[in-house]
Amino acid sequence: MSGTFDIKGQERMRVDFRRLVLAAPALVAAIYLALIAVYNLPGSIPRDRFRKDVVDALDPYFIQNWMLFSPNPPTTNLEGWYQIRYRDRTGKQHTLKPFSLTQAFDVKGQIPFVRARLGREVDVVGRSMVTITRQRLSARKDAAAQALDRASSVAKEDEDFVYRKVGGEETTNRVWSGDLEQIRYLVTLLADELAPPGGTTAVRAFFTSTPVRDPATEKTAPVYRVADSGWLPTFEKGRS
Amino acid sequence: MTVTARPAGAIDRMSTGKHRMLGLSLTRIGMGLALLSTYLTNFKTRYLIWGPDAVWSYDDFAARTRHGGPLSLYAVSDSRAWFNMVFFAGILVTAVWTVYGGRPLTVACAVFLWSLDARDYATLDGGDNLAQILIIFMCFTTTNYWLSPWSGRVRRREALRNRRTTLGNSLHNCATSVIAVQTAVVYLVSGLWKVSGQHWRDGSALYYVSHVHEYSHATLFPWVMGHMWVSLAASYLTIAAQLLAIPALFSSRPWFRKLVFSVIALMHVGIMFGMGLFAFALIMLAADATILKDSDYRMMRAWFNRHVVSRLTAVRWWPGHSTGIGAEPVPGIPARRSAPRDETAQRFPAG
Repeated sequence: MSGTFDIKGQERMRVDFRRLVLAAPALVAAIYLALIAVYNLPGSIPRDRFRKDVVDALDPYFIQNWMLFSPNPPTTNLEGWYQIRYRDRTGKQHTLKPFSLTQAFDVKGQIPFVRARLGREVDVVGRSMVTITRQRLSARKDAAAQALDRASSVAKEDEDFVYRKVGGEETTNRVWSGDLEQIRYLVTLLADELAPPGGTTAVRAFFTSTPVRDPATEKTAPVYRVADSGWLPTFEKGRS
Repeated sequence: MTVTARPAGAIDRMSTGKHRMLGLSLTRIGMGLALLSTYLTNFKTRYLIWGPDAVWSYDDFAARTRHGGPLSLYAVSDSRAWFNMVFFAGILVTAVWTVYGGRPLTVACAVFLWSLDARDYATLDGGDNLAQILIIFMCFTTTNYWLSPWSGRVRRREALRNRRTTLGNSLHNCATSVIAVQTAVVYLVSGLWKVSGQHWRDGSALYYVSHVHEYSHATLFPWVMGHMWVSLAASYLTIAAQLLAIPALFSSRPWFRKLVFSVIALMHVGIMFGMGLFAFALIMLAADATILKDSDYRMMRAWFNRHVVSRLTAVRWWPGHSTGIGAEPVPGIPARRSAPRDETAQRFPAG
């Protein structure tokens, strides 16, 4: 199938419509590849200039983030901690030692693909941590209960433990700042799940960042507390 | 002015016959297995992640869907019955697609994949992101030419279509090219970002990755990467392979393409077992499969047959094991013929 056109009396142009249709997918592909080239090239001038237009064109089905452990891989171990303060039946208040959620729900030793899903992207901020912690909590509820029992058995007022553990210094981290609300939410969920019999008077959760030992200097940097909910109001088991 | 012969020839070549058929079949299977692992490993905790009472509230999710977010079947209703219906249908469709392939099933699988990922985007990683994009383009391709119970029927059908120029062929080839380039772009961009990272430049990146608890699955991995020369070599090899992905894709030298993507495949096997990121690594391996051409696979198969299979079959595994050509006769057991019988010579003996 073809047609001929006479453009302002100039030479005649013959267009092969069938080939045009066949070439249409290639045209769409070329446009797509041009868009992702502009979108992805790090720090390029076209990226800065056309960023908004390209995002509008690709959003939401073709948005992409390919940094994948770059520019630098994670260099710290993030660990979630949880602490309970409660009043026993005699009215005496106990503050339990903080216990590590990360260790309590460590999925090491499970078959790879289970761990892959459970342990993924824990250093993604906020809600993702909540999601994964809840996931682990649910998957390993028995382990959580045992961890709580162990913590309860050594109950004593030892808040200093927290500060020794985290280096005695409250620091903030760019990634974690602003996530306190998320951690509060995590705490409410955890309190609901983990509150010991008799009710919990207060709970707190915080996260520590432990840098991996520097391979060049062989030095271990201090542990930082990157977010802390502080002691949160009274919870009764089953409701918050 | 007429349409010149050169572009016309290119259009004709692009729309005659389909390319990268085995790669796409492998992509389908690899990606399908990764998606199934997502469904099944989170089966017990599905309500927490994607259910009506999930951590990310249903109202927030539905609002995002209404305001320009990806569409999702889970947004239709907040009832647990509907959630389960969609979830189980997703498992079924993904499983059937993995085994059988085909365009309608690819479209269905894409709908369920996007629905699930839209319900909780915070747990997604780079592999999920790539799978979301690639499956859209896979809807325009033939993914079951090989490695499917329907393959024979598909090959017979395609044998008729491949002789002429069709829009279907053009769509398939363009979508396949986009899949291959998109995958190579992932490596290029990641490689460029890595070059700007201090830890990748000083060779300590894989040391750090292996010593962060979340990514050190195997005990051997941190021990191996604890040797700084190994970490340096592996970090540099990773960057080199990623930066060479685009040149390798467009290279006319098959050995170069196979070398680069063998290194990348090795890297993903390491990620799978060393770091425990099974689904991510499987999706990336599946995407890599499309980058190699059908001719590359044929050459690899020929090489494998020539250097591995033929040697294995030539080995006498145990006394008395007859292996065909060159096998020594064993007393009491008649030796196999070492060459096909020459029927002509028997029928018409010389002289």
